[in-house]
Formats: sequence, C-alpha cells, structure tokens
Amino acid sequence: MAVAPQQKAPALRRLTRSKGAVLLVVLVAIWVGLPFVPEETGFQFGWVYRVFFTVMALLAGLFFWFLGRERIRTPERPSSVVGSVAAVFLVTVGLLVAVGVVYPQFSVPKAEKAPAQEKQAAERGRELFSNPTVGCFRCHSIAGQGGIRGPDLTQVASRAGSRVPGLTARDYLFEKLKAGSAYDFKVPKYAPIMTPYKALVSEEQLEDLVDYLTTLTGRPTDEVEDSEPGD
Amino acid sequence: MAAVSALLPLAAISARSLLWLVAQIHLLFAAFVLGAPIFIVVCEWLGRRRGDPRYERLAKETMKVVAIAYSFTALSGAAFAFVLMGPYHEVATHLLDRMGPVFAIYGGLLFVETALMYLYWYSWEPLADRKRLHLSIGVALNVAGTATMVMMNAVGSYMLTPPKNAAKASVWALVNNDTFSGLNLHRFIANITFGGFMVALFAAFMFLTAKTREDRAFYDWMGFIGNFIGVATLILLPLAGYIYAKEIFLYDANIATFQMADKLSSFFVMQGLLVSLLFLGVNYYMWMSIRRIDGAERFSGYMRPIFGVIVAGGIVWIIPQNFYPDLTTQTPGVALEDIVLPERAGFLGLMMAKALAVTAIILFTFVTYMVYRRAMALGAVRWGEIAPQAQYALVFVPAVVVYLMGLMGAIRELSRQDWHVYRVLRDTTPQWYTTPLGHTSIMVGIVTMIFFTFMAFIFWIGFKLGKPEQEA
Repeated sequence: MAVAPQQKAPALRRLTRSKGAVLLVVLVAIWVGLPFVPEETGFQFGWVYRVFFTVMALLAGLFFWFLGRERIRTPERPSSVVGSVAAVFLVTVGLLVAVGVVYPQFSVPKAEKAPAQEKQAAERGRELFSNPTVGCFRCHSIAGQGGIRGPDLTQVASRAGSRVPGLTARDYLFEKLKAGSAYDFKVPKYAPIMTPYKALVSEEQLEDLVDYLTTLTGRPTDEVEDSEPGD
Repeated sequence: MAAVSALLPLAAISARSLLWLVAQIHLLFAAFVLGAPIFIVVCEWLGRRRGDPRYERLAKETMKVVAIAYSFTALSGAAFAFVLMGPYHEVATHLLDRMGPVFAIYGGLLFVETALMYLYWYSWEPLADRKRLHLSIGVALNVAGTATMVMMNAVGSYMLTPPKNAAKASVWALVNNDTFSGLNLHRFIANITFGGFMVALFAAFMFLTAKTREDRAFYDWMGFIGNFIGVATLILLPLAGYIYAKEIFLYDANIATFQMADKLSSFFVMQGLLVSLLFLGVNYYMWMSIRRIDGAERFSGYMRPIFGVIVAGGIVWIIPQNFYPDLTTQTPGVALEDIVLPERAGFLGLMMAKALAVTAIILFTFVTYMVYRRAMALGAVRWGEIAPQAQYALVFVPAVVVYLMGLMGAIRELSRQDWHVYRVLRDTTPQWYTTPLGHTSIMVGIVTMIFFTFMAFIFWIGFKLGKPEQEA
C-alpha cells in the first residue's frame, strides 16, 4: 500500500510512526517516572507491575513494528511452507504455555498425600464406629456385622443424599448424627431411639464419622457396606 | 474405593491426566464437526442465492474434511467413555443412574446425526439439481448436531450446577439446571466461531501452497470468509460468556470467589491475554485484507490508532488486581505493595475496567470491519494478492482459539473443586487437587498440539491427498 506523503500526515500518525521513540518514552515513564510518583497520590506501582508494564510495552512495540511491514518473505517450496506454518503454531503455543508457567503459582499437595489424608479421616471414623464407647455398631450393621435396631448402613452413601430435600448425603449424615432421634427426618420402620452424637463426640469426630460413612457405597469392592444412621 | 485406586495409575500418566486429554480432544473434534456444518450449509445457501460458485466449492471442500473428522470425533469419544467407565466408573454410574434418559436420547441422536451427515455428504452430486432438498438435509444435520450437543451440555452443566435437591429432582430438573441455557448459548456460538477459524486455517495453508493464480484467489477469498464468520460470531462471545458466568455466580457465590479471587484468578488473566491476542490476530488479518483493495490507501491512517485502542484495551484487561497465586499464598521475598495494585489504580483490576476494555476492543473490531466494507465499496478487491503474513495470522488465530477452549474447559472443570458433581458426588481420587496455571498450561498445550496433529492428518487427506492432480 502506498504511503501518504509525510508532510500531509496528521500529527498523531507522525507520532505513532516513530515507534522506537514512543517505546523509549514509555519505558522511561515506567522506570524513571513511576518510582517518583508521590505515595500519597495512590498511584505508586510496585516493581512487579513495572516489569509487567515493561513486557506489555515491548510486546506492543514489537507488534507495531510488525504492523508496519508491507510484505514478508515467504517460503516457496511446499515443505518449507509446512515448516513455516508449523513454526508459527509451535511458537504461539509454546509462548502461551511459557506465560502460564512463569506466572505466580500456588502449591499443590502431592498426589499421594490427598488420599492419605482422606483415608486417615475415614479410618478414624471407622474406628469410632466400632468403638464401644461411641457404640454405633450396637444398633447398625455394615456388611452383615453389627446390630439390627437401626438401619443397615452398608449402602448409606448411596442413599443418604435422597433423604432430605436440599441436603447432600454428607450434610444429611452430619445433621442426623448430631441430632439423633431429635432430627426431623426419621427412617421409616425404625424406632426413634438414636442418641444425639453431638453430646458424645467432638465436631471433628463427627466429621470423621461422616467421612467414613460417605465411603460406604455398597459396592463389592468396599471392605464394608452401608446404609444410614437412623432411629 | 480400593478397586478405583488400583486402576488409577494407568500406563505412564495418571487417570486424571488421561481423562483430561481424551475429554478435551474429543470436545475439540466435536466442536469442529458441530460448528463447521453450520458454516458449510450457510455457504451452500449463499452460493445458491448469489449464484457464486466459490461458495459451493468452499462448502464442499470443507465438508470433505468434516466427514473425515467425524470418525476422529467418534474414536476420541469412545476413548473418553472408556476412561470414564474405567477409573472413573463411579462418576459414569452416577451420571447414567441419574440421567439415563438423556444418555439414551444422546445415543439415538448420534445415529441420526451420523446418518444425516453421510447423507448430506454423499448426496451432494446426486442432488446437484435439487439444491433445496440438499440444503434441507444440511439443516436437518445441524438440528440433529445441535440437539446432540444440548444433551451433553445437560450432563456437563449438571456436574457444575446440579439443582439443590439433586437426589429427589426429576430428570428434567437435572437437565434444566441453572447453567444449562448459558452453556448451550456459549457453546453454540463458540462452535461456529471455531468452525470459521478452522476453515480459514485450511484456506491459509492452501493459499501458501497454491501454484496457480486462480487457486490463490480462491483460497484468499475462502480465508476471508472463514475469518469473517469467525469474527462475526466472536464479537458475540464475551456477552454469552458474561451470561454464563452470571448464571454460575447466581447459583453459588463460592464458585465465583474461587474463580475470580482465589485459585483460578490467574486463569482469567490468561483468558484475557488469549482473547486480546485473538482480537489482535483477526484485526491484523482484516487490515491486511484492506491493503489488497484498490484505493484503500486513504484508510491507512486509521490503522495504528485503532490498534492502539485494541492493544490498550488488551493491557487493561489483563492487569491483575494482584499477583497472589491464590487467597492465602504469599510470594516469599516480595513486598505486599509490589504485588498489589496501588490504591488509586485499583479500579484497573475490577470488572468495570475489564468490561470497558472488552467493549472498546469489540467496538474497534467493528470499526475495522466497517472500514473494510467502505473500502470494498470504493475499489475492487485484488483476490490472491493479500500479503502472505496475513495467512500466518490465520494460523496464529486457531492456535490461540484451541488453546483458549482448552483453558476455559479446564476452568469449568476445576470450578467444581473436589467434587465430580458439585456438592453431590465427591472426588476422593488420589489425583484430585486444583492444578496451578503452569500445570494446566502444559496440559492444554499438549491437547492443542495433539489436536492439530490429527487435524493436519485429516486436512492432508481431505484437501491434498484426495484432490485431483490438476488442482493439487
């Protein structure tokens, strides 16, 4: 495209054409100007933001430089075209991945740690369940072991979520354990005799019990089976 | 749990990573085979209406690729289902149990869609004189395809926003959950955008390897049409995205906090960067297109100011409120004031500033298009004479689009946190944790590369290998 004569170009165009000068002014403003902005103005950017603005300014400068190119040389041979297309693609994706990797990251638990913690809580719940002081097993059975005064808990995790509208399996189990027979929902066909466990165990222990009960889906692979705490 | 845990370390990568890869590759193929046929039928209709044979050729050449891609969609879908029913059978069982009728309809629709797709493709020549009938088959194909997508959107949206009383809810209540319509709207538009940009990518490669002036002119035009469809729908996507996000936020503000102020906040900075790059790419292509119009020099003075606004809008969009990785993590050795926006500039990190930036970008993209229209009205388009770097912009844009789709998919899945189905079915697998942006970026990068490797193969078969010698 033909370029209009310089003397007729508007002032804005002339200014934006001198990309190097604009970039230099911006960088000076970022690194020399910004640090001297008085703190009370509320516009004092930290060095991390100044690095961020610098990267943005350099990328913008690069873009505007590229924008000014009328025509770039392109490969002639088909294999070279394939290579150049692949290169554009790989550089694009590579740079995007790099941005994601250099951005501040939060730490993650090691993969083995999460299940260990999960297991610990469920394991503690399991011990509580069979603890004679707590006594869940006296009334409830799991996989054929335990009492029969309360509902069988072999598949409790699969059913508990459907007991009370609006409550998930976990929430229902927690509330039921806490309140016992005082809880509004009673499992049909069972006498309302369940102890309110909030008086017997701590909240953490209640959580452990719930963790254990929510593992009881009744599948053959489970070591135990379940149903739910009832009255 | 024991059996599930035993199956988890599949081959060299975890089951979670494997599921991540196959699910996203399947979704990318699905987006292509759903979006491209809409584009194709519109082109075929335009060809008939305007009497321009280029539209017919464009539609037909693209449909050939779609037909091949359809097989890959089915294969990747089978792989997805296989992984889901293996290590994650608990999830599969739950979904089939709760939404059985949805899966049944989905299966039926797949048969209908497949039959219509092959009918549409193989009846192209036999029905050359009965275009209206052929177009009707194409429309039916798109209706079936969209309905298929809606079925799986029901499942996907249920997993993030199940109704509050999910256990007792009817199947329809599970389907018509709080984000069902938002996800449908967003995906429907995005699929067309994706289809347009993919067609532009094919055209770019064909342009660069074309040997004749006629072919160059055709593929230049094809790239322009693909990009045009992509841009026309792209400018609607931020609005659809806001609607979808608002539905999520209204459903549970905890998810909003997790997304915007906690672990996923950096993902949205990345999203802003990607969308800004996308708009820069499409605007760059449009300005290169303007340059090959006779007499368009008079508009050249507008180019840099317009890009100035778009670049400034992009920078405002991605300025983070702070550089905390999440709500609780401190960066060692860095002072608080260095990683948090100063008091008076705090507005730059708020939604208001971001929304204004996006609006400016969209508005000035529209201005670019108006300039193009104006230039076309005043001078002839020299098809085939576009600067070659414009074709590389058409390579750059789909790479960014696919990466963006992968990132947004990850955000949607990670938003459920440690739930397979939010607050209904907990994820207790060993690999569960919110992956940081770096981990996610690597996964999305791998997905993007695998997808384009497959697409290159499909494209090679469809556009190059299957082409008569005189055209190739």
